[in-house]
Amino acid sequence: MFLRSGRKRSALGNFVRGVEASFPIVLGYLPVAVAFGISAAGAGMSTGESVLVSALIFAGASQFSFVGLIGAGTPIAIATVTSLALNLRHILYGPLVARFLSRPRLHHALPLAFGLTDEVFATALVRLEKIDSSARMFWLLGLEAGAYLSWVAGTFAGAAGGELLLLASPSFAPLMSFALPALFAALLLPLLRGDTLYAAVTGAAIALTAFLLGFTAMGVLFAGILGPLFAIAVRRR
Amino acid sequence: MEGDVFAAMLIVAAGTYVMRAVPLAIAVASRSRIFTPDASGLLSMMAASLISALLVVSAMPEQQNLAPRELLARTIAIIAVFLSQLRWRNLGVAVVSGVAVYAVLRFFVECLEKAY
Repeated sequence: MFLRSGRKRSALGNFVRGVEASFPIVLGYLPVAVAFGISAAGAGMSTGESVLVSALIFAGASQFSFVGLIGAGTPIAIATVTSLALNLRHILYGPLVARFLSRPRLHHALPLAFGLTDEVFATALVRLEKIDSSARMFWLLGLEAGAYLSWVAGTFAGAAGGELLLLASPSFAPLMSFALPALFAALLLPLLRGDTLYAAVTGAAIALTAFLLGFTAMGVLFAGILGPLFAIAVRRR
Repeated sequence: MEGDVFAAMLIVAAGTYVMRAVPLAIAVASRSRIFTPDASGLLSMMAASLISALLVVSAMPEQQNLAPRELLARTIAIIAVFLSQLRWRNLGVAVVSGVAVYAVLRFFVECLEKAY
């Protein structure tokens, strides 16, 4: 019994440490989620519907696209396909995170997939390595839980009273939205060594080109595929 | 929310989950076969490339707001994040430092714009 309660405490402790590690993500998510709540309310959704979209989809760009296209009167099929296409890059995240999980079972891994957003993926990739392998599963669940709750809570705040928030502090949202690039920058630095440097520079160049051409989401996917290929080509020369 | 919009929302939610879950499930199921040292090196490069792309995409302002001073402010703030990460190696401190530097720079830019 003692052993069982000790194991329980340990799982809970790892989960709590994961939640604590989500702080930088929360910092970036809250203003974006508030903005989404405001957009959804502007597109005619009730507070409950806005929160439901965030609670079920949990993918920022895709949600903005879905609500924006529906609100603009785009045919539903096009809005659906476009919103799904924006998430294609997520197919690369699972295999990258899986290699850090020690002997994961399928029924443990599947709940983790729900919270695998850009920011959770990037944070997990850099920090999981430094965490004891037996603690990683619950730590990652905690990280996802913190990010998820802030996303849903921010959406609620935006849908229910976002315009009041922005009126009270109009310069707050643009400042806090910089938390996301700051997070990615802080996560990128420890990865830059040897061949990964070439891959990172190529990825950045592809993403920038795609952004300027108006294909931002596809640019991230292509960066994930072409960046490593370029680095391998450089290594072989 | 109308019925067809609700159904579309459920399809997007389910599709997003499938895109995240299926590759993860395949990786977990075939772990011993795909995680050779070569594959691990490739995945590390892929990770760096993806995070670098996400940094660029999230750091760029809206297309209609690509003013040089805004780009400069964001670039300096990202350099501040790098320096902070090198110095303290703490994700939270690095993010807060970056946001603080960006806030100060934006304040100066706004003051300059008002003055001229």
